[in-house]
Amino acid sequence: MNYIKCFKLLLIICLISFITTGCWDLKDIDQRSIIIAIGIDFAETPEGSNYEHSELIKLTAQIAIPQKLGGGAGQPPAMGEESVWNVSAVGLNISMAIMQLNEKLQYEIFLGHVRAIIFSEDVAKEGILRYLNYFRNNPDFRRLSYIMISEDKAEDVLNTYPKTAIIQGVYLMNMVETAVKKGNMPDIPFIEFVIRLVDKGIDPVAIMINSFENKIKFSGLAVFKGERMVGKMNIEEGWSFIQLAEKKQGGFEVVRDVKDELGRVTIFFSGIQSNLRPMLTEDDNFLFKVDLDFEGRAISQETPTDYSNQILFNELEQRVSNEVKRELEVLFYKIQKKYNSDIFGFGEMVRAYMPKEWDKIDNWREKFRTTKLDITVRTKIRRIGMTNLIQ
Amino acid sequence: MKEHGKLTERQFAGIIANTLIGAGNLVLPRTLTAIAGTGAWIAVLIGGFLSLVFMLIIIRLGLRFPEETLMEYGTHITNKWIGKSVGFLFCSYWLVLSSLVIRVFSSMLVSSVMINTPIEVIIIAMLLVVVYFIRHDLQVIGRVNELYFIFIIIPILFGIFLSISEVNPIRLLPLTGGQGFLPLLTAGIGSFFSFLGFEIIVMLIPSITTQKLTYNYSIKGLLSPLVVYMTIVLLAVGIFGVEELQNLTWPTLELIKVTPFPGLILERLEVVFISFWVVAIFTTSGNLLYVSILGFSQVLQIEEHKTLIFPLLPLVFFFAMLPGSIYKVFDMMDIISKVGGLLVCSIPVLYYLISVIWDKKGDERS
Amino acid sequence: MKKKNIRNRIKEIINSGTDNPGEKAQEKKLSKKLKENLQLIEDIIGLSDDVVIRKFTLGNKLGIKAALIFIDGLIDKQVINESILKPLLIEEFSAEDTKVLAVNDIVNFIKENTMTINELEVVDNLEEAVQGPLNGDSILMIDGYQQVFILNSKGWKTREISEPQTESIIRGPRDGFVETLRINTALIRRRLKHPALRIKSMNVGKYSKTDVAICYIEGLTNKHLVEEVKERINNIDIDNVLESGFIEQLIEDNHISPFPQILSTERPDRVVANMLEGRIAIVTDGTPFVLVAPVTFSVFLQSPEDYYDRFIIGSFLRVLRFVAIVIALILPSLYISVIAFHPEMIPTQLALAFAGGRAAVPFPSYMEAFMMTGLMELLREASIRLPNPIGPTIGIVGALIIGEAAVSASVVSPFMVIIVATTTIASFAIPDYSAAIALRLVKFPLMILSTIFGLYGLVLGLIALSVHLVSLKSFGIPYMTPMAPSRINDLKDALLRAPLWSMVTRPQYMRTKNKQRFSSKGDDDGNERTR
Repeated sequence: MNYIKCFKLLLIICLISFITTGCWDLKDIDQRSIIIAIGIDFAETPEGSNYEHSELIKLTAQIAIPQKLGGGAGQPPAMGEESVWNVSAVGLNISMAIMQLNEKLQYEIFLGHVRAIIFSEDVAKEGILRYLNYFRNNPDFRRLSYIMISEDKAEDVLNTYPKTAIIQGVYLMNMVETAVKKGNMPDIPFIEFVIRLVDKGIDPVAIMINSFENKIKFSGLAVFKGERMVGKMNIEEGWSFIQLAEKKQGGFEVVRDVKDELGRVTIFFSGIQSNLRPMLTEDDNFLFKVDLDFEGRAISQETPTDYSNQILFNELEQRVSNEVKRELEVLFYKIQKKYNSDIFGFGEMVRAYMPKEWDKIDNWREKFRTTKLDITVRTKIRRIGMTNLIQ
Repeated sequence: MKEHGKLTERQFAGIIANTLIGAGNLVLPRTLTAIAGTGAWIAVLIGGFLSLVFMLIIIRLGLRFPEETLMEYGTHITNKWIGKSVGFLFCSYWLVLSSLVIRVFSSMLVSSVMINTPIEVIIIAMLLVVVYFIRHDLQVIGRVNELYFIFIIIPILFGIFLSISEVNPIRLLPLTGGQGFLPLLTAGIGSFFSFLGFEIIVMLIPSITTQKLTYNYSIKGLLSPLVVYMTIVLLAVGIFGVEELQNLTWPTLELIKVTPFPGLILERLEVVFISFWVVAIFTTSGNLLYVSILGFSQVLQIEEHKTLIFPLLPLVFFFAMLPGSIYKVFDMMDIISKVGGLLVCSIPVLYYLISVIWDKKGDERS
Repeated sequence: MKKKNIRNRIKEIINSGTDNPGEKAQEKKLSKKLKENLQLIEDIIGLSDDVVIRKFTLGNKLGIKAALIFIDGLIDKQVINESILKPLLIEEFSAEDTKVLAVNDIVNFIKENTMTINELEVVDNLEEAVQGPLNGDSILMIDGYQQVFILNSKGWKTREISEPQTESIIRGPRDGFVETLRINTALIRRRLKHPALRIKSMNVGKYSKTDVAICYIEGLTNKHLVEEVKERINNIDIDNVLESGFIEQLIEDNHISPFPQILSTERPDRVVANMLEGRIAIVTDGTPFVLVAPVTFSVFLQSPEDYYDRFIIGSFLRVLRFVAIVIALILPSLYISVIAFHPEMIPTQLALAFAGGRAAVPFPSYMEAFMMTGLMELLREASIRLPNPIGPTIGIVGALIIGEAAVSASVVSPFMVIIVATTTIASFAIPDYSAAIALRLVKFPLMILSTIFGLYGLVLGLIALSVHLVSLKSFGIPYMTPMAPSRINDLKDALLRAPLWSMVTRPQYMRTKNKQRFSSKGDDDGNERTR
């Protein structure tokens, strides 16, 4: 019995010592190069190289400099240019570029805190699925960081330091989150982008930004068809897109005054109810009936019109509705005809509500070409400013 | 030979629930949606219903022999050798299942959190704790399960609460999957295999304090995993959609990864949830291994079940390391759960029929 | 011949080696002659300097020799002089009727008529007679009689009843137990003026002969429990019991576990409250720490104050302590796991701040954590040992100066100092010292595990810990009751402190005979009752 006990003890000691020999995954936070944002451009192919223009990518990683950001007692933290360091590497794909990048750094890079991936427009136009795969397989990578498309080089965006940015990448993310919260930008983080890319009934969009001097600015939404970017919407079109597809209020609307056509009334949307139903028309095309109920408040009025008059008020509401409807229709037919990309997710609607019809469809995009839209917009203005203008 | 430790009914329900919530639902959303599409949640219901039926048969059989486990009444219903070999089959199945549960989880851990750690080490570490656990008697097993039920359920509920805002309701539609009833049934039988583990009650029924309440509490015990499974499947479909789910090896883990957790010290909760999942896996494989070893000791007529732990431990490790790649793991899991399903569906029914026809009954409890 | 001699010599040596005065007393008997008796006592006790043998004669005419034996320092001189010697020497025996006495039984006369002392016993066996002076009594021997008087003259310096230092509270009684058994039982008795209170004395320790009293409430406490406690204490075979810790360690269920399975407290109110829940108090002479058994883990989270404040505040404090336990147990391990294994868990700014703080530190984070927690334990231990006036100062100086210096010398990161300080403070928020130190100890294995496996290791460690806790028992009662096994009714007083009026029953797991706390059954409204 004692031998058995000794043997058991020995076994346990062996196992424990085997376990404690290594701390395989132990790597302190200060021994990782923490990347905040990543920019992806096409590399300029050197003359005489064998690669074509779109083959080599230049990956710019924004690495935080923690020494500047914490630990020093009493000193104000470094900002903007001083707190981050942009390092670029060139490679055939992301993993090669990151390997190149690692060779330039003292510690291995760490993707757990990436807040934004910025693709330049020309990269996006060639297709970005091949680049996304690396991030999707990386277990550290945040699934909720944002994909952005930069109008010019992504590197330039990363090199732009707004005055209030402590860490530039976090500034970018905060910008997007604020806009999303207000309902001015669609909430499409990395994972949502990928899902829309994979789903047959919907195409992804991405936020477009552009940088000048030391400012960064939204410039609209990038329209994708599959993995390729095919066009863009400006900010106002983006709002319409949000109203139609995301069911969020999406910015504001400016209409002419009912009495005095020279003045304007600005209506800020505070809520939206939307009801979207697919139907099959007689000629076997899809018709989407969209009911939109807006709720808004007038935030500014440039004329002394007294809207306590019910008739005038109703007409104002009508004007807003008409304006919104017009904008939505313009956007829809533009996307449909020009890009043939179902960013609105109408295919998903068909799959959800008419599964039998959906099974019959081979190529949704072809069907989408002939899809019609029937929009009804109602607006309710809840409040009309604090005071009327002095007459 | 008799297990003297008594289980309260609540502990009994806790053991059922904890054994069921384990490795199965790490991959469940993917496997079910591959067959049933958006109707996967109905498949879970069907699977839950099937397991409920078989569980009730097992209890009915068990209550005919209120003082005996399957290993013991098996020999009374048939003869000594058949009873023992059936018991042996059950125990071996539990042993392999237990080691595979650990393996599946360790694989996930290695592929998602601890990339550089050898999988052997993770398995050994888990096994050591499991061994410490199953060295105790049934009373302690029951109490631990009772306590951990809360530690498993509350984080799951919390996670569900957080991720519910990420659900896109359109992706859940059509609710029935839109492909007719057959895929639902196929997937339902598939999900039945992930409910396996409830059959360990064949070893526990004689130890329950108030056997009258067995039906009541076993249903309660089954209900919570059913709800958990269903919610996880619904959430996974609602967040990822059917098509993206097919690309995810560990859909439940990805589910946690996309759950935002705003405004607290911890921003991403996946590691925290994995930690609680460790508890779930621990109870699953611990309970399975415990009944397996208890069963072996009853078949071999060994007084203390503890004596068998060390001889069988290398076997558990061997089975956990047997499949080479993660796909092999899933294949083996498939095979072993089919074997288990066969055992669970056939043996209790046969035993019950035999015992009714020949009117065999165990001694009443004194 | 020679061989035999040698063997005898060896025998003698061995015998003299095992020569036990106590055993001697058992063999020999008291005689009627005072001289022989005195010789016997001298042989057994030895001529220690503190043994006083006062010889005198009873009455001038009577002329009976007598001797009073006591141990200096254990007796009250006042009692000896005024109540024993004075009546014996002056008052009665100088009277005329002493002649009658010679005829009558003088022992009876002294017992019935002479002694002005409260407690007196007449014995005639040597063992008890010898034990008398050792216990602080004095013995009176009279020539011509075999009987010996044991006179209660106990009186030694005791500490004043003062506020317990280890369990100070804001609201509640300020008295604490002292080192004397009788005072302690009196403190209990004063709070339980019910005739059902039973105090049963026992004697433990071959050399120390320590008095141990088992206190319980007849008709309330489970009988089997009382029997079990008595039996366990009876089974103790040890030569000395210096503190109740000896008894605790010898009667607890699991000897290897770091967790206390018996509560030791200095507070009489806590003891009484626990006795009323069906527990048994074990009072040991020579220590202010009274043992209470059986206990569950939740008892260590309770402080008497919880019941004196309103229930919302009491519950809040309970939750706070629960949080404190979690912090004291896992915070350093959590720090290691997050910093070294899963830095993606924390928000970016915080992660960068951590990284910035650690940037100049040359050690890995686990080294840092071990160093600082180790240092903290050192400081805590040192501040207990240091002389009272400078102890706290050194504690503060040590913590502040070393922490500050270590940070500015880049030996540790500022966050580590925060973590360690929080952990230490949290560990002091646990009301029971022995539970707190157990948790502090368990912290280290958890830190090692999380150094190897990160959060996975931490969770495995916690699983093992909780399995251990659940498997523990204190006198047959599972340690984690009412959590596991769950008793929903008893949870009222575990994680939270329910209002007094809602705690109608005593803890069910104690299996008390008398289950109701309140006489009126089912009355839920506290206001009505007080009216």
